[in-house]
Amino acid sequence: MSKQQKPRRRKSKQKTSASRPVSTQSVSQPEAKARVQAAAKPLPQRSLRVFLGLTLLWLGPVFALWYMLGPILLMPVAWLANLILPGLYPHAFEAVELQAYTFDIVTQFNYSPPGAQLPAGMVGQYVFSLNGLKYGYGLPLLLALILASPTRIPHKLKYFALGFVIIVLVQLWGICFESMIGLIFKSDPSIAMQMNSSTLGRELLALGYQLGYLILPAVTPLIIWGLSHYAFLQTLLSDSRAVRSSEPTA
Amino acid sequence: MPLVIFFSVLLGLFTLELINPVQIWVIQPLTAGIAHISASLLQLFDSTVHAQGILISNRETGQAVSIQPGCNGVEAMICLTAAVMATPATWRQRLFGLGIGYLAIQALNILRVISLFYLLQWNQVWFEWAHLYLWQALIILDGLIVYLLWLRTLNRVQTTETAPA
Repeated sequence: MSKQQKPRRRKSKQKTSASRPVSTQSVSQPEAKARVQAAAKPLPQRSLRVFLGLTLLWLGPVFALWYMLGPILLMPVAWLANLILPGLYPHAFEAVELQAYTFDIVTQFNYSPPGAQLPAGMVGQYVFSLNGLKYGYGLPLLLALILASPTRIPHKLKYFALGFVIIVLVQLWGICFESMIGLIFKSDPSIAMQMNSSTLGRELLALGYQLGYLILPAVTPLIIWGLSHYAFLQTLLSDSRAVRSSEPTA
Repeated sequence: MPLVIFFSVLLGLFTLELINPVQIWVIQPLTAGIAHISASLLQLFDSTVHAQGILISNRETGQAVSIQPGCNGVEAMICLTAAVMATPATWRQRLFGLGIGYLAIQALNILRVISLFYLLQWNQVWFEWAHLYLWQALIILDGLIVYLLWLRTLNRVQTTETAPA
């Protein structure tokens, strides 16, 4: 078994040295050597305990950063929601406006709350606010998991960028369904009646909302991390096997 | 294929959870049980705590927390179930993983309820922050940890079975 492995090692060394002249064309020889060595350097092994500890350590600062950058991170969600809701239901939604951490859903319906005193000739417009961040807590969780995994920086950046796009879509799902819920279930009955929703439509709406609130924000970061760090996951799970094989046999 | 099983079980159980009889006979008693256990633990060192149904309140301040869908750990249990069902293992191993996993999720969930109860009395802003963002992430992370540990036990069993005599 060990005899078969030796030639493979030699072969990989030959590949490394063969690629050296190509690298030295534009940079100095020591620099190129360092680059080649860095590229060939294996990633550090990380046990499950260390990985989980690092994830928990990263979670605090990453959550704080996510909250501070919230108004910026919510911009693409607001932009997409402003395209989709008025685009799909022009008779119901006028605009979606981002106000730091909340979305103002501006509807086409006129409404004055009982007891409200408006100036003569003025009509109230029905507007309600939604918390934009409550569907996005998966982003800091994903970032903590990625940072705790022993992968190279380009890999981390690539999958964080991909995760960001997917989590924006999850947030968009949540905001769109909650906006519809806000109009059909939580608004004044006179407004809800104008939405003309069927019983089945209301059931599907409730299911979509619950899915977008309770399941998608939680599951999405774990799936993205699991699929993008499959090799690391395998090493985590085979830790016990490695420990076992290194134990002296009787 | 594992992803198909994962999503099928996830969506199936989640839809089942929302059905009225399941809510009445399973989810609401479970949620009331979590409130009762949390209140019993709190009453060990705080006599002002009172539980009624899914409400835990402070008799002196009148402030109360209500355990709603999303706060009872059921969704994390559903995710864990879907992941365990999508993993090749015997039914005995799966039941073991789910039993330990449910216990771990509910143990952390009770800690969440207790911490949120006191956070509410201290600061409303921090309560909202922990309730809506931080604890949600921690509970699902707990599910992931349990799942990874369970996978490792599966690996150990396989290693033992295939180890030469």
